[in-house]
Amino acid sequence: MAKKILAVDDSASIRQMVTFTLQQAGYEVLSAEDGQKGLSVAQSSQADLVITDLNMPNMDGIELIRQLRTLGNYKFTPILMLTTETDPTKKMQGKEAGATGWIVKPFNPEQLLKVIAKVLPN
Amino acid sequence: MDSLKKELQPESSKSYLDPETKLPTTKILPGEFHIANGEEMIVTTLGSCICACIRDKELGIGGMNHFMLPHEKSSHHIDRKATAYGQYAMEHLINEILKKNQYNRKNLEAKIFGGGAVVDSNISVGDENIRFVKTYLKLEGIPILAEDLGEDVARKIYFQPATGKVTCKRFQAMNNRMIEEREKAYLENIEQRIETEDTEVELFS
Repeated sequence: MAKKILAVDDSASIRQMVTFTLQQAGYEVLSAEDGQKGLSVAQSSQADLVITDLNMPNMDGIELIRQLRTLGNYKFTPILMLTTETDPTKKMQGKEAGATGWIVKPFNPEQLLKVIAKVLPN
Repeated sequence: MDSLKKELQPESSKSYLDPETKLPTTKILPGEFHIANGEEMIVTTLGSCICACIRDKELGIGGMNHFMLPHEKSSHHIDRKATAYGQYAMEHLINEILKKNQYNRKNLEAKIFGGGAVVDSNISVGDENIRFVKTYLKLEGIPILAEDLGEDVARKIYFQPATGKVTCKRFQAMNNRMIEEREKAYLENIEQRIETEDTEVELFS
């Protein structure tokens, strides 16, 4: 069965790009436009991996990770941040919240797939 | 002569007082963006590059970017890596505005300029860039209030985010090799970077 990835980003063009890249590689993709919506999608459908932006309305990526980590079924799910942010303080907050990794935009689609394959082995 | 001297000033002294309007003004180059402070004006000179002027219409907070999509030299093909770069150039500017307006995307509006047939006029670099920025803004739901795009001209753009006012001065690209040279250098630099530079990734565990 195809692995399921949840992509959370407030930019529609980034969601489209990430979705397209992942679907072409054979993943099933769910998407949401902010942390709050991402959290409810994650609760209604178990994802094998979560990719989230940092800065978003309603709930940001770091809070989303904190919330997900309190749920039993997302305790060990790989969560990658995909962001324009390079601020080390933010990165540290992401790590402390329970992020698996931090990817800085602009991302190379092939390299995104490699990182996913690394943290989500078949 | 004054304006030419300004063009040649180093990057570190690109902020100045505009002699006409007496407003603090910041000049940006290809690959850069800037968010205005208060009444500040932002200025840039474009050939085939695109410049997006984006602001929050209620708060008067905004900024300008200046970029071009890289393309594979052999195929003149805009691939996904190039699109990712263009999205980054737009998103970086938009994110910095959103940080200052409580992530209120609905208040954003855009004016777009450039994409002239200046660099590599045998292929439609300008047209590809125009198509990209229009598609991007449509997808993001940001309305385009004004545009001056394409044709065989270079442009100098003045943008004051506080009021939303833009002045676009058109001039013949032919007489401005400097713009063409600068954009070519920028293009070669980003083409090399997207081919050779790895995406910055850090795995925590």
